[in-house]
Amino acid sequence: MQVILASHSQMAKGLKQTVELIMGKQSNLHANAAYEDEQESLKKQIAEQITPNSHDLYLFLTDIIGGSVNTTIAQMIEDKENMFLVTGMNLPLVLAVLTAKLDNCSSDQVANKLEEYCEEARKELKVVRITAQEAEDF
Amino acid sequence: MIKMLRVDYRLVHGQVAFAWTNFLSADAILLANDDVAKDDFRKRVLNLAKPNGVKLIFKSIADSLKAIKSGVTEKYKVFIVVENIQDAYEMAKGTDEIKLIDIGLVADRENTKNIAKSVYVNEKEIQQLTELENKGVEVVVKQAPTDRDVQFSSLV
Repeated sequence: MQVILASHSQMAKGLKQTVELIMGKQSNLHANAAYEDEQESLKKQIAEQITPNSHDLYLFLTDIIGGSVNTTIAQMIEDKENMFLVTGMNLPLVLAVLTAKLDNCSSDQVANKLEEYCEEARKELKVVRITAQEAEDF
Repeated sequence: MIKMLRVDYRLVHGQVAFAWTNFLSADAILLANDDVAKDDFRKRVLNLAKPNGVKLIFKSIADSLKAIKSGVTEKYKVFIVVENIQDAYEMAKGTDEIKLIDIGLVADRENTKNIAKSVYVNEKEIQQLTELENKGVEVVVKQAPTDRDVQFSSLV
């Protein structure tokens, strides 16, 4: 499984750094900053990260729906069964995806799992209220 | 069973709550700390870091040892977090159930030396950890779960 983060400018790279501070180095996590000066086009960067003829699972996470980063990737992976795209990424989502074990799942199973992770990550976007909680014990 | 005890002055935060709990497949985090155990506000704040589906239990050092000795922890995969090496020492001296200690974050204080990234120890703490190693406890120094295992004894 390869996880590829992509964003306008540095968000993807920053997210990768944050993830790796928390979890340690992740060899299957890649980050692409689009539209920075003096750098290859996003399309070219992504094309280089996809191993030709690979059946490996690719998960693309992008910054915002409607952004050109998301649109570009959506077009590139349109007809590929082993490639998935999620947009509106946040740190909880990236952490969930990286700890997932999806390598032996069917295409449908991966899609369902991703729906679950999105649902969980959505819940973690919230107003913080420090409320009393019942004490837990063994 | 007790999966691991981690020393971390930030107690339960993202790295601990998420990465370590996941890595250890823990289903209960025991925060063993005398001050937090009697401070409701800190408990509420620390509860923000509680991962889904995992118990977060606050106890003093004495009560933590009491719980372990009573056997109630046996049906859980327990991940213990303490604030400093003194507390880790008391816990591991008090029970043989703790077989693995991870030195994660230890604050820089007077008369301490830096032995790894974010780990500062004084002479007394070196002695305490060496004593635990001699009694058969594995003591590793690492921040994140996928970092390399470094034995404490190799750094002092």
